[in-house]
Amino acid sequence: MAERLIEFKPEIEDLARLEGELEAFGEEAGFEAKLIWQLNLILEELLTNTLSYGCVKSSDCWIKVALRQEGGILTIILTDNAVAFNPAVSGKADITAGLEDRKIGGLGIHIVTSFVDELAYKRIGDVNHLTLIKKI
Amino acid sequence: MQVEKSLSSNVTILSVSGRVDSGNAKDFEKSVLPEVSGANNGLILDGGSLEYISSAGLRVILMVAKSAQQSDTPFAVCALNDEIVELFSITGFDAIITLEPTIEGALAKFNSG
Repeated sequence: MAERLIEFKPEIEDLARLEGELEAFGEEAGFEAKLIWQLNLILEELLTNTLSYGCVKSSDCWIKVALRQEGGILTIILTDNAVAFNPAVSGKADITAGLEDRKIGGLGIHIVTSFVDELAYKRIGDVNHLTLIKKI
Repeated sequence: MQVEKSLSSNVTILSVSGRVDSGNAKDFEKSVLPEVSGANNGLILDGGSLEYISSAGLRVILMVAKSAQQSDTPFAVCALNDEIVELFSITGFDAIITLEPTIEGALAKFNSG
């Protein structure tokens, strides 16, 4: 079993720490490079969304990422006090239109849902709780 | 993230290395998007040394592909690693952007087309 709690400041620049944190966690958990790569992508997409849209007006925004690997299950729990946002019901990404009509919106969440097996959201008080489960 | 430019048979080759993420996607955009207008004979984005890209970087590649289409500039992305090829598939980018395993393959395609 491996566990890691990572706290981020509400600044895109702070996401530069993500890669190193995940490599350390992945090493402890015995993950293959590909899984660390996917985990990095999942978290970057989610945290970038929160920082770009959720934390804009609140300088006292906080974000926590709890990672836990037990057996073949990786659980990722994101909590933050940003604006309420449920990725499970966000708009569907456009992944079929031709080049001319293709829009970019929603791709990040589409990538996240493609790489995880379960995604559950709840808002408790002023806090977003997002739980992701990935079978490994 | 670094972008290096070279020319082969008058085709512009932009080789991107390292990681393209939300922190440097704007720099990536400034390095590659303006190159479309001067690349009349074709533009190749060489991802042979690209380690990682997120949706922020995919957005820039989509902008380049759209710009190239508008100016009738042949465009291809080459030599991506397996993870990034999978990402192109998941996002449906492989249906709208030409992927080639090698730069040579893309050059041959441009010359025959």
